[in-house]
Amino acid sequence: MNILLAEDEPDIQLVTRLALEDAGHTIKVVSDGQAVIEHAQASSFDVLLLDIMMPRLDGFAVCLQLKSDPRTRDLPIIFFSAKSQEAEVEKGLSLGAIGYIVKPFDVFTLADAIDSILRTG
Amino acid sequence: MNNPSTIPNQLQCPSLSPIDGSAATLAYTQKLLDAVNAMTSVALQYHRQPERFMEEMISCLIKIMNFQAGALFISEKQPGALCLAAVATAPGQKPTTEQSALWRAPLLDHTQKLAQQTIDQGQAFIITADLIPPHLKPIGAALQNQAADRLISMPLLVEQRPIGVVQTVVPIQHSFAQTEVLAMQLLAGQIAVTIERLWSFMALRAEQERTRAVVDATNDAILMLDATRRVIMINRRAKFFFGLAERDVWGKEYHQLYILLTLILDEPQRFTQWFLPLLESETKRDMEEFQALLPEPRLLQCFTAPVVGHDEQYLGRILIFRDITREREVERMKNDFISIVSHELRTPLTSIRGSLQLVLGRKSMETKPQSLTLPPRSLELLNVSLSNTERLIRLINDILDISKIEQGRIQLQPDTLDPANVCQAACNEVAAFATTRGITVQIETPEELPSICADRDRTVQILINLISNAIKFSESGQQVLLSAQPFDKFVRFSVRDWGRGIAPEDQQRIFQKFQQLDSSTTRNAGGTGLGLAICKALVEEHGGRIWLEDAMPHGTVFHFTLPLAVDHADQADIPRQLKRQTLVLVVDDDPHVRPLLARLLEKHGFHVASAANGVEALEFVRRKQPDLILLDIKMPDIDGFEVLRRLKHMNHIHPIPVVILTANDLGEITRTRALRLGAFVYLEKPIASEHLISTIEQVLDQVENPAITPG
Repeated sequence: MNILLAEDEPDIQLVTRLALEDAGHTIKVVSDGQAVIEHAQASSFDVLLLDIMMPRLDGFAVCLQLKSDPRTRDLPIIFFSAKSQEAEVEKGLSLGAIGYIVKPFDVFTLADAIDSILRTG
Repeated sequence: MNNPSTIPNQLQCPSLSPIDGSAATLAYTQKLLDAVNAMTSVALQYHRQPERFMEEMISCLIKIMNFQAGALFISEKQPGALCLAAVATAPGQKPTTEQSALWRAPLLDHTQKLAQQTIDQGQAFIITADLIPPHLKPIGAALQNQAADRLISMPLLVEQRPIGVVQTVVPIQHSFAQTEVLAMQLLAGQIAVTIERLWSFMALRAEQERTRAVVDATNDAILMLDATRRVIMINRRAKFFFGLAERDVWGKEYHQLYILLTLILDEPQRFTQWFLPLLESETKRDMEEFQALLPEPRLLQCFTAPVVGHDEQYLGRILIFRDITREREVERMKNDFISIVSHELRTPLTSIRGSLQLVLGRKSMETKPQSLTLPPRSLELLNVSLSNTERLIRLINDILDISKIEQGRIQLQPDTLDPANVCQAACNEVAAFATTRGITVQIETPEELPSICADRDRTVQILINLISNAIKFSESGQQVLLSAQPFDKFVRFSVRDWGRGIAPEDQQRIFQKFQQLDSSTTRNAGGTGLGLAICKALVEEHGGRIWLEDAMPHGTVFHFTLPLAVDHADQADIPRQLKRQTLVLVVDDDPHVRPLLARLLEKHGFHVASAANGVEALEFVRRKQPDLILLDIKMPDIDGFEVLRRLKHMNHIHPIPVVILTANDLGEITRTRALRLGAFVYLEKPIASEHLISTIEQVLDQVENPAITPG
């Protein structure tokens, strides 16, 4: 899969990228909300792994914009965050995301979790 | 010899003779009636000044009877304990020392004794200067000094019960006829009744003031409407809360009060929709929250209940407003704190755990292009780091869970589950842990096990917790047995170990937070002390029970029950949490109406999603099929009719029922058109909450059971 990873923490970027590359996927990493939108509009990705707390635009705002744009409306979005309160999860899902992965995640099962969400979403 | 403590009979008042019908007697009777009216007026005038009241009473009597002076003795707090309440002299005369001397020391002692005897014997007495018992001789001398020769002492009786005595001095030249005795008895009786009424009034007023003080002292705003729906009480706090003066609300009917509420509350219409049905009920109690804008923004919790008298008569309805702004703020800060802290802790833990996992790899991970070869010591230390990282993560998760449990925010996602399946899932999760400890986990379930109604993730969480504990407290080579079997209307899960068991004194506290047995063992085992508390809360949230069975010294058995999955007919037995969470999509462009409807629906156990327009609604439906749509008609981009049309063309397994909820000014044509386009029901705003909920429930019932016709 061609995965767009939106994450501003460099260490988490590294760990996540390595975990998914080890599982055979191609990863493009961006570190702020505005960059996510630009990349999503410019290229084709199979899924967006989207953090919430990011500079310039947070994950919720990014999701809203992507879902309002016909060019990016169909990009599957999975929220990827350490925030796990029900309100946050529900907000993410109500904005159009198909799944929510709570950090910290297991590097060995992350790719499977993404696959599973894509299948059922 | 006469007993000095009694008065000879001949000095007692002569018996009364009936009044004849002569003009003189009639005139005298009229005079008496005027006197009674005068006393009543005095009572009304001076009822708030007891001392003045007493003085006026005795003055009234003296004036009417043309006596020289008089006094009132009242039996207050203790029965029979007489106190001098008032002394008066004839009007127009200056009070002289001689006239009032009878009721001053040293003569007071004697007149008081006379009054006591009057009370004790319950009869009136006339004391004359020439015929006076020895112990009252000083009175005789005083009478002579006043040119009076008689002292009358008469009891004040209320229904034959003495409450005091009136004493009057009659001048020598005054012929005291029997009719005057009758008159005096009548007036004394009137004084007695009036005094009794004064006491009752004072007691009632004191009680009212006490009650009022209590009501005013409370921190809550209180209003009361009587049975005719008029405001009859508003406390001090209410005036402060709403910036109102008593005159603004007292006596006002609810519809007048509503006008004031439109200025004060953010959603006065919602308040009315909530309160009016309750106002029509003589039994219902309810609580709701409203945002007040004046005199300053605040969140109010409003409680209402009927007020019923001691004879079960409906007196009215009370409204109590409590400012919960600060409480909610603290709750929000606490939630924010927990959210922020957990986020801040989890973020670095993500990097730590991830990098350790990548470095250590996993045995089965054969896709790694190049495995890392680490010296054994480094490997051991890295594993220590990883296991403690996992422990920290578990602690954070447990703390979050406990926080949710304590705030009642655990939301179950119930489903029909196969108990054997969840047992297997839990065992799979703990398999690696069991292997490292040399423990074998066995599952024993009968072939036919009834399904349970439970949240899958939470059920697996409970089982993992119990099995992990059993593993921790077992020795290598031992076994842990997981079993499930039917248990009345439940399935009972059991986790058995053959470890060292739990001492009886520890069995009570084991389900409490942060309670661990033998900290050295549990520290080694990586426990947080929250696991069993969480298990207990989750089991009980499902309506089940958890307990442990002592099998010392050969281990422990933990049991817990989860309810069976039942058919529709028995749905009412399941706690509301476990009813399938019906998802309602609320579609309305009004940003005030959407949250209002969402709150109402959530309060009645529905899961709610919102859309601000038709496009959003259809987008949502494409992703996730709601169980029902509550749809407005007039919306900016595509209207409700277009939404109905497009819904028809969507491929859903089951059609989604749509309930129209729209403004009431659109007419019959709109209603007909909506129903023709497939709407189930057409409702108009404003609508009573109960009507909306019952309509939605009826529609859902009909969809699930097409044989049922909605009422």
